[in-house]
Formats: sequence, C-alpha cells, structure tokens
Amino acid sequence: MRLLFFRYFVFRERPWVWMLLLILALLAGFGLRMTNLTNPPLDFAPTRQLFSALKARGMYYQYVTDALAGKRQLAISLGDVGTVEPPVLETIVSQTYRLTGEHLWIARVYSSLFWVLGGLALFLLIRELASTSAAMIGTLFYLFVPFGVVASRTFMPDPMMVALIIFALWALFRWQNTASWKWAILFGIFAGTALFVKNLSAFIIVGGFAGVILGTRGLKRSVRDPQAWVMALLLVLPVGIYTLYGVLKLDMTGQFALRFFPEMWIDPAFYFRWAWTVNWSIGWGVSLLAAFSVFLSDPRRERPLLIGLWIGYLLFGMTFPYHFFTHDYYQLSFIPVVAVSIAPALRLFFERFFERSPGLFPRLVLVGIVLVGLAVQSYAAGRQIVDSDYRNEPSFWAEIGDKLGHGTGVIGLTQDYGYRLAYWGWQGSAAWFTSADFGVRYLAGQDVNIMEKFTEDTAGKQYFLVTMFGEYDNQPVVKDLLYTHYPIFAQTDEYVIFDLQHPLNQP
Amino acid sequence: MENKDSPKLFSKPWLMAVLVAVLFIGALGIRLYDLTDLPNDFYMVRQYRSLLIARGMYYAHLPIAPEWQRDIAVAQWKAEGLIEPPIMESLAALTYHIIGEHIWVGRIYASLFWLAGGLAIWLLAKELSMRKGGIIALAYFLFLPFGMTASRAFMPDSLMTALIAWSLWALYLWEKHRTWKTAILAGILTGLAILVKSVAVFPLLGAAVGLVLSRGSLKRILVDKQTWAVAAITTIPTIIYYFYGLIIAGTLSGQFALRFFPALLKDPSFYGRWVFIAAGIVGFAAMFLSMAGILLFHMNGPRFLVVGAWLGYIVFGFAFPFHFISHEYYHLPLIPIVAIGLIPVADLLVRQVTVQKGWLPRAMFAGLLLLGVAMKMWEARNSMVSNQYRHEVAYWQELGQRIGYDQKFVELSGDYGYRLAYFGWVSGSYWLSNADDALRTLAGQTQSDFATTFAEQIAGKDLFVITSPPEWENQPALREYLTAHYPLIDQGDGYWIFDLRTYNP
Repeated sequence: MRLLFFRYFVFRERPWVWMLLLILALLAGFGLRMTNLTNPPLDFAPTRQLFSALKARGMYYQYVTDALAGKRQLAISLGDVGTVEPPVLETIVSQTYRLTGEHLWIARVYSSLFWVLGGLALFLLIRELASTSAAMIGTLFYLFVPFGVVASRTFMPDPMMVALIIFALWALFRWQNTASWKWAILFGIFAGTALFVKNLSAFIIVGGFAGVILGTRGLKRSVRDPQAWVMALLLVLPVGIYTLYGVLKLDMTGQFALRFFPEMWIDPAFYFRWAWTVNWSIGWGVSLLAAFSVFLSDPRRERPLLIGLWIGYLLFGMTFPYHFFTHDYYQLSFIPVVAVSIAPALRLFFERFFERSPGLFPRLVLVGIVLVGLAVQSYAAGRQIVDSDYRNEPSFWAEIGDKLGHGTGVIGLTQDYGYRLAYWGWQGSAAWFTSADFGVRYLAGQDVNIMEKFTEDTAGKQYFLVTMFGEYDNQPVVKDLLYTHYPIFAQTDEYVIFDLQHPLNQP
Repeated sequence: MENKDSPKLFSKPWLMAVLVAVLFIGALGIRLYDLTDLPNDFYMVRQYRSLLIARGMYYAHLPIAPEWQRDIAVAQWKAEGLIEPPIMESLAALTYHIIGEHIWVGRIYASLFWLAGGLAIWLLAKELSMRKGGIIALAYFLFLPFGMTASRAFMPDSLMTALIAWSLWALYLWEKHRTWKTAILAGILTGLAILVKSVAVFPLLGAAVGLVLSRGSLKRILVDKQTWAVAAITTIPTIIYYFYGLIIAGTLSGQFALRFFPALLKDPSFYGRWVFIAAGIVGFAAMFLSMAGILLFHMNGPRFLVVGAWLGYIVFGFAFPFHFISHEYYHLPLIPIVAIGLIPVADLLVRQVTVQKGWLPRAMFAGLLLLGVAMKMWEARNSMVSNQYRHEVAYWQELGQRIGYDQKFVELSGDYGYRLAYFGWVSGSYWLSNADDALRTLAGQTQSDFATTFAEQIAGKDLFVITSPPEWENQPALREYLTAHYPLIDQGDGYWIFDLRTYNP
C-alpha cells in the first residue's frame, strides 16, 4: 500500500503533491525558527537587533497612555537611536505591541515569516527557471542552511529585504518570459519595496535587472520599452524619495561614513577573508557549485539573470569590503543567489537521475539522502539556536540601570554600544570606542587622540561604566586613567562604575 | 561514456595532464609547508608513538650512538605495544640511516602516500571513462582541509587511506576485465591495505562484497575461482600478522582493550555526533553530492562498490562507536569513498560545461577549480602558520635533564608522556588522566580506590612528575596527597616534580 502511495503519488509530477511538500517544507522552516523563541535577541548581530528593539519600543510607547510619564518619555528618548533604514519592521512590530504588549519575540516571528514567504517565491522562481525538483532542493537549501536559519529570525530588516529581493527576482523572470505589464509592475513594486526596506538590496536587484535588460531583452529594445522604464522608475522612486528626505531632514549623512575602503581591494587577504566568510556562512562547496552551475544554464534565457546576480553580489562586496567580513549578515542576500544558481546543475542532475534510475528504489534512496541532509542542517541550526541562552541578561542590565539611576550623564564601555543597558536597564549612555572602533578609524586614515577624546567624551558625564573587561584590558591608557583618577562608585565581578564627578585628582 | 567529440580543452591529453600535475604539485607543496614544525597539530600521541618506534629502530643499528642513548631509544621503542605492522616507522628508520634523524621524514612519507592515493582516484575515474569528473574528485581528495592536515601526520592512516583508494581502483579494474592478473592485483592491494591498518577491512570488505553481489547470480559468485582467490590473497597477510602478533610475539592482544562500547549505540546523540563529525570532515555538500552521485553511475559495478564501501564504513562506526566520535581520523576511509562518489556528479556537470562553445565556460571551470584549491590551500597555510611548536623542544629537553635519565618516575601528562620521552629521553609510568578514567568507567571497569592505585603505581619509583596543569588541576585527590606527603623538589612552567623517596606522614 505504501509502495503504491510512493509510486503513484510522490514521484509523479502532480502539482498538488509538490505544493504539499512545499507547504510542509515552509512550515518546517518556520517551526525551526520558532525554537527558543523567547531568548533575548543577542545570538546574532545583537547591536543591530537591539537598535531595532529600542526603536520599536520608542514607537510603541508613543501610543501607551497608561505608562508612567517618566517611563514613557524615557522609552521614546531611548528609542531615538538614529536612522539607518526606514523603520518598516520596527513600525510593524510596534503596532503589534499595541495588540499584544511588548514582546521581543514578535520581531522573530515576523522575520521568520518573511524569510519563509521568500521561500515560496524562490520555489516559484526556480521552478520557472529550471524544474520542480530543482526548485524543491533549492528552496530546502534556502530554508535550512544553518546560517540562514539563525540570521533570518532576527530583529533586523534583512530577512524582509531578502524575501522582497526574491519576490522581485521572480517577478523579473516572469516579466522576462511574458513581457506583460502585470509582471513589470509587480517587479517594480517588489524591487522598490526591497530597496526601501534596505537599500543594500540594490546590488542584487539591479544586477539581476541589468542582466535581463542587457543579456536577454537587449539594451536597444529595452530603451524603447515603456515597461522597462516603469520598472526602473518604480525601483528607484521610494528609496530615492526616502534618501532625499533622510539627508535633508533626518541627518542621515552619517550612515555613509566609514563604509568605503577601496584600499582593501589591493590586499589579497581581503579576498581570502571574503571567501572564508562565504565558506563558514553558506559553504564553499555549494557556492563553488553555484558559480559553476551558472554555466550550465541556458545562455539566452537563464544565464543573463544569473550572471547579473553574481556581478551584483561581487560589486556589493567590493563596495563594502570591510563590512563584508565584519558583518556576516551582509552575506544573507547571497543565499538566494546561490539557491537560484544551483538550479541548472540540479536540473541536469535530475534529468540524468530520472533517465538512469527509473525504478522506485533509487528514488526512495534519493528522498532518504535529502531527508538526512535536512536533518543534519536542522540539527546544526537548532543546536546554534538552543546553545546560546541569554535569559540572564535582562536582569543584569536592569540592576546596572537601577544603580545608575536612569538619568543622563553616563558613558560606558559596554556591550553593543550601550544598547543592552538602554533596552533592559532603561539607561541611556554614550558609547566609549572599542578597539574595533579605533581600528576602523585608523583604517579610514583618521587620527584619534585618546586623551583628548576621553576629555571630550566624559565632559559633563557623571559615571563611566565598564562591562567589557576584555576591551578594557585592550585599552590600557583608559584603564589607567580611570583607576588612577576616579573613585569606584559600584563594582562587582561583572561591572565597574567610576564616579566622574568626584575625581581623586585631576587627570 | 567519453564523448568522441570531446571539447578541445580535454581532447588534448597534455592539457589534462598539466591540470593534474598542477594539482599534485600544489598538494605536495602545501603538505611540505612548515615541514620542520613539531607534529603537535594532529593527534600528537599517535605521531610521537611512531617517532619513538622509528628512532628506536634507527638507534638499534646505529653504532656511533652513545650506549645510554641507544639503550633508551630501543627501550622506548620496545615499550610501545604492537598495534599495526610498523611499516611507516621502518621506512622512516631506513631513511634516517641515509639522511640522519629528522622529525619531518615521516611527514614526507605520509604526504607522498596520500598523493599516491589521489593517483588511484584519478585512475579509477579514467577507468570509469569519467576523467572530467575525476579532476574534481582528485582536487577534492588532495585539498580537503581535514585531509591536508591528517595526511601530513606520521601515522599509518595516510598509507591506509591511499591503499583503500588503490584497492577500490583494483577491485573495479578486476570487475571490468575479470582477468587473473587483475584479480591478483586486487587481492594484493586489498590485503596490503588491511595489513597496514586492520580497520581498512570495513570499507574494503563492504566494497568487495558489493562488487561481487552486483554480478547478480549467487551461484556464479560461489563457483568463481577468481573471487575465492581474491579473498584468499586479501586475508593471508593479515592472518600471518595476527598469528605473529597474538601467538608468537603476544603483544597484539592489548590493542583490543577499550575499543568496544556497544552501550553508545543505544544513545541517539551518538548518531547525531557521528553524522556531524563525518560531515564536518568530508564537507556537508561533498558528502551529500557524493551520496547522490552513486545514483548516477551507469553500471551496477561501481554503484555497488561505493554503496558497499559506505555500508562498510557504517559497520565500522557501529564496531568502534567511542572512537568514531572521539578520534576524527577514524573517518579517514570516508574521504576516498566520498571522492569516488563525486566522480559521476562532477563528470556530468563538467562535461556539460565543457561541451559549450567558446572558451569562457571552460576557462571558468578551470578558474573556479583553481580558486577552490587556492582557498583551501590558504586556509591550511594559515592554520599551519598560526600553530608553531618548535619552541617546545628545548622545554622538554631541559625537563628530561632535570628529571635525570636514570630516574624511575610516574608521570601525569596530557600526552601519555610522549614528548618528554622523545625530546627529553626519559620515560615514566603513566598515571591515568581524567579522560582515561572516564573511558574505563564507560567500558564498565571498576576503579580501585585512590590509595591502592597510588601505592601500586609509585612502588619502586623515585619521582612523581606532573607535566599537565589541567590534569593537575582536575585531580584534587592526587594533588592534595602529593602536596601533603612528598616534597616538591622542582617546579617550573607547566611542571611539578615530587620526590617519592621522602615520605612525610
């Protein structure tokens, strides 16, 4: 009976079977991301996640009328952490807080949902590009690659951005194949939204768009094609307006600083580090296979898009050489690029497999191999998620916040530029530079005088908080300065607070 | 099947030969990098054991050596129990007689053996008419990060892995040609692999059984004289060796102790760790591509050969569950198996790319291959550069002098005292580490109480030497007892020496 089931249902190209399998995969991917849901979001890019958490809380408290006036004001002021991208996810989360109350895990749910929805678009894209079997494997890779699992459940705009990139690419490929207004507009909407959510998505999207325009449609034809112009306009309009508004009104110019380090291009170590980052985040083997697989694609129909995506990714890395290996989440948009790129190789594999293995047994073996692979990847991701437990953090920071009094006048050498203290301790602080901060400024050719900076940064401050003792040891000048000239206000094994208002002697 | 209209890049044999030569030269080069560093980077206990054996063999026939040194070297060699036939050690000792004793000689042999294994992978691909896939499989075999590290180690495993690859080639060759010559070759190579390290029997027996079963008819298999000949030739060297080791020398029986832990098989986490370690070693993508690749072989012979080898590897894991999750090098036989499984997938993909018009796809293939290789070489190079151990020689030499060559002592160390024995020329009896205790507990052995064990161990000894701070920290009973009752006569960076001849009640 079971054999009959496999023979007649699983291995026939029945759309509903594939849809069922896809739904199961998407649900499993979502379920995996819900593991350890309530753990504080410090397991991946904590600074970026807390940035969003503070912002969302600030937005939420604008609507909270029953909070103490001081607390409400504090939440709003702590939420004023600056602007990097439009606070799309933060707005959605803060609006949800109004219904459910403030829970940090709500963002995890949204991000996971976005990523998984991206899987749906990816399946549709690869199915159109290669085959249903290839689409299934590509989608499984996207959903279960451990780095992707961990990074896609974060309070950051990146999972939503990646999902929108995939939807945009799907629409783009559909437009390439149909030349219909519907897909042109859908591409414009998805791509424009992706760029609006995070403008770094431009590299992949514009790369793919340019690939299709130049490689498949032809530049001459495209220039005369109103659809192409509408697509381009919709692509740039939202982010263009926002950037203009941001530069003029939100003082966003700061986000362009310390980003471009072209001198790294001539350092071979940069390329090896890049490859190393790809290796540990996505896998060197699968990435090489994906690159190789581009040349297995149809030169006219598929290859221009794929080459465009790869060139976009490479330009992305060349534009942000420093961030490409210090910020691993910059690799997130590479996951769908790899997933789509391996499709031609997978198609070829399945064609040959079905030709050489017509029987039921080899197919069951293949299903078994895929399931074991999924189990291993899920286990790896699950372990990473479960092994990192940060539930003791909120009370720790709350204690320090109480000690400092939730007022102004605090500077600190603390985790995540003081965001943990701000979020759980309800205590704002100025962030003293870490060695990495000094390093990036030296790399940019800036000269920082530590004594002068200390004097400037501590002027008018009441306390200097230290919770990063490794960093503290790395900065002997500051350590010596504080211990020699300032009394200790409070101290445990985990933190030291110096009283800057009553110096022992003048530094 | 090889296309008649093969693309130009591969229709010129010299181009293919150049690519293969580049891979071999690169593989040798990276293995010879940092050649003279101490072999502490990979299972040093096993490597120093081989070094002691090789030195003992060398000094036994070195008339110019001082007598005391010869006595110690030979005694240290003889003190090592028999595990495998000391083939690598004998080769190294013979080489010492020509060029003098150098710690890196074993490393060169191991590296060369591994490269020879690569040649077998390449030849097998050629036999399968899948040379294009063979290039990828060869690159994988030669530049897999774990393989690059493990194949520089002075251990029999590199030779064993190479011989596994050669045996699989010979078995397939036999299957393809079915001549007596190929049957005898298959028997000899398989027998040699098992002789070098008996655990090779698992994948090879599996592969051979798989291959024979692929012929279909059991009756035909049983009446086939060649099959019986292969089986006989395969088993004879090992039977002779075990007869010698167990009956004549009697020193081989020790190697069966603390090996079998069937209780682990009931623990689900064992299987998770196994898969993780295996995937970590051979690479997740490569492992699953290789498994899928088995389904692409166009004949049952190679398909069953690789499936059999896989099953043999799995049985190997069931037989040695503890070692499978604690000794990574137990997974080395998997590397040639995965490499062979990669051949059909890689061949399919590379062939498809190289038939395309224009030079770009072929250039991209060569470029990506070399990029992948370069990346792995860079990774290996970085790891070698960041781990330097040369400074240890002086430390152990000085410690050996402090202890004195004529002293009898008990040692608590993190490496079973091998570095002290090799560089310091002194050997003590071994006080069990916490890990050893745990292993014995896992094996269901009951431990004597501390006082009894201590009294037994120190009987007739002059000193108690501790060379492992973590062990010293983690054995409070020993630490307190020694500190309370015996004078500490010397102490330095990472060592403590107690005088057992003076007891303070």
